[in-house]
Amino acid sequence: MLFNSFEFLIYFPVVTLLFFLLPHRIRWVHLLLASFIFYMTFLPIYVLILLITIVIDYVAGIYIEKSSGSRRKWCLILSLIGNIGFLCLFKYYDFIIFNINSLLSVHLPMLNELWLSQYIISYNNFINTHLNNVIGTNFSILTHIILPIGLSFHTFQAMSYTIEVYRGNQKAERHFGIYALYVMFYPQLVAGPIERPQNILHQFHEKKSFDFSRMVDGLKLMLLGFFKKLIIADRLAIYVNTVYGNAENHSGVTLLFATMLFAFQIYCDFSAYSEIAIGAARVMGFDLMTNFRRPYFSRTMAEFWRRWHISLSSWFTDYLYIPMGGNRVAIPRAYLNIMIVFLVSGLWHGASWTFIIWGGINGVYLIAGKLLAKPIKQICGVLKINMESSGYAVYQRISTFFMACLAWIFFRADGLDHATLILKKIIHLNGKLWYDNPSMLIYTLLSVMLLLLMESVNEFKWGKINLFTSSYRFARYTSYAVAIILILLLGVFDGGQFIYFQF
Amino acid sequence: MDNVVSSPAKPFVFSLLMQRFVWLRVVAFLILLVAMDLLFGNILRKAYFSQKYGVLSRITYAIEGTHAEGLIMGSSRASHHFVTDSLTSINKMPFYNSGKDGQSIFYHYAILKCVLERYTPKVIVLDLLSDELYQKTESYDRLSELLPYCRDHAGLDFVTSLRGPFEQFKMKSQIYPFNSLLISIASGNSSLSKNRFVEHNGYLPLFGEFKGDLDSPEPEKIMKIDPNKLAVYHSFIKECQSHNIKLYITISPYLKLLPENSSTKMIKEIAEKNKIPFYNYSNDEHFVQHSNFFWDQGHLNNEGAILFTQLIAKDII
Repeated sequence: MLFNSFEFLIYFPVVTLLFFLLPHRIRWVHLLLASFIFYMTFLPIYVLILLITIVIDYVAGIYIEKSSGSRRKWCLILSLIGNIGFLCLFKYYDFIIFNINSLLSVHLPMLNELWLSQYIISYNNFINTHLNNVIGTNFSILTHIILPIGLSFHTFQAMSYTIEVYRGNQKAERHFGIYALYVMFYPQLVAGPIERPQNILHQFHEKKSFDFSRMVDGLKLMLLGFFKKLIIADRLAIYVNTVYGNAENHSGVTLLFATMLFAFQIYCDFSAYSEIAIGAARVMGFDLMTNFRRPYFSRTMAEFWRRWHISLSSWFTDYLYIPMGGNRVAIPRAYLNIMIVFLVSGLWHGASWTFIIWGGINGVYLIAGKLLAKPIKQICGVLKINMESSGYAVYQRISTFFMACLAWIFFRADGLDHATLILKKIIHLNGKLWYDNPSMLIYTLLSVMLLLLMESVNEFKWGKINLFTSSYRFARYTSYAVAIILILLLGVFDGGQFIYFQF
Repeated sequence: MDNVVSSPAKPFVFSLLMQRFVWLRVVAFLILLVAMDLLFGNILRKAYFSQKYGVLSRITYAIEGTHAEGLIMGSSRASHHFVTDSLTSINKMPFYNSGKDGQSIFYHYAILKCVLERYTPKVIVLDLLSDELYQKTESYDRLSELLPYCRDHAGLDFVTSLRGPFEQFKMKSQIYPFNSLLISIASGNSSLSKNRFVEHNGYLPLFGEFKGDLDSPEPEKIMKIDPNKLAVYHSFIKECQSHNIKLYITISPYLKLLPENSSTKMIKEIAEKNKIPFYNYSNDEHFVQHSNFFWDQGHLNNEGAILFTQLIAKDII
């Protein structure tokens, strides 16, 4: 079930209403059931993967807490192998085997050639055919294995639980249902934010009473999310998909423009999902972590990564960068640590060399930023450039944006050849700007301007302009109504799913 | 249950009652929202139907304006391939071309239903794509162009049904039918669109020759016949027969040689079964590989359209 579907507009209020009507002791059952249904609307059979990892990590958590020494360590390792195993099988198996086959000229079987895959496909088709015939659903009949939706998100969330129990920062959860809910809580199940047990697990035990102001806050956040997704992200997607889908026939100018639009598209798409998730959870009384803080206002790439997909960046910092020594090691090793984190982050996003290169470029940016910090300061001193001036801040923000754009080319391209072609064309920067019709261009530019205005209001605390938080009730209500009217008027309702679902 | 945190919590119903004044605000907000939707929806409706130029006014004219005895229906290929003035002079009967970019049999049937509410044309030429009956999501998406007309035309109820189970709820909004049309409506009401099209009774000529390379033959995709399209195709034929309209079904020329696919076969079989004349020009030797007659691989230029109209006019006299 997509957040931007009409089904969700019915599902969410019904689930929320029932949540508050039910007694506290059975609310976890209700939420768990709601999460199962939510996930199973994508592809029912894949809920089994979730169930297996939930059982593994639940048992591992208890054993880790009870054990000591090497036995404790082995419990953690087995749990991590279980989680990463599923991730490797469904997400990375074909990538690894393809590269081995190409490199060694062998023919190891790909994922769809494995007996396990055939078993999953036939079992899925058997169940789905029956469901489709009996209750009139429209579940997919598979011809090949597809990646379970949100696999990387819930796997990382599950892994953070066992690691935190191992580190002694979190007590092992004894209530199986509550633990299952920690992994499956439907607002953030398929695209985050990737939560930590310390933040969310205890909230499932707490008795939540209905709070009107929390509900309004949550709904406002959801409205903002829908606005960003339907009016901005999906509108920009029309141009970006058309141009990237036919890159060879488009000019460098057009490709550069499409790449810049993609930077806004992916931000709006993903941050919209996070805002809807956080808002939906808030309505029910749960607090999820912030995932984005206006990243395109960053002055350096390091700052960008502190503002972009915060739940993932902090995950890598806590569980990979710091255990490797972080920056408390020799400088070359610290740089290597940064590079490893970004390469793994690239791989987390997708099993493709383009994602690895995307991660690598960002790693290079961060290392270069550290290496060049001093020389830049010296040059500015010599040239008498005030690094605190607003003009310099604008320069930094624009250059950071374009650096991010360069990396996004690899993120969005369909392969290395495709990315290289786009890059070459952009470097030559020839030709005219393409657009299908003037209204396409006007809507696109309008979307970007709207986004920049919204983001500026929050970044620079232009409180008076932000009608959502106006102290005048009429202005506030009118602003909510106008946002809904704008969605009806300008929203793209035939748009697709959220980009980050595929990860 | 070590982690249980007990916090005082009021029952939900109690909380609601306690905050009844707050809920009055919710009601006030909903009234404001409905009022704004009504106001802006009606302004948009007025502006939409007062358009004099542009693509949207063409749809309105086809649905609510034309009284031509002969109608051409189809996609952009119909609008660029049938020179209505030639057909009118050859057949001594006024023709109007209601072809519309990217549309499918669903749209053509909707136009037919609306036209039949006003008058009965004598002749209809239905120009279909070679892959017309295949399942394509855009065929459903593009039906949004008909939403502004659904409120006033009972015959268009099937359009909302085809768009999905929730479309009728979305249509409760007065603004929703005009989604993404703001700029087109503005331009249709200004003289900006006036010179964008050269139009002759619905025919939109394209000038210039196709200079590009022909697409290399693609491996044949396994495409499914859309049962909805099939049903609507049957209904189209039945509707014409019940109103004694002389119906002709055509597939107009393509630049590339196309193997006969299952969609074309089905179109032909159903037409023949219902004794409807069917003319397939998709592989006609006058046009295949003759890029001088084409604007792109799927659309004839004006020169090609004139030749094609002369050929087809002989068939539909």
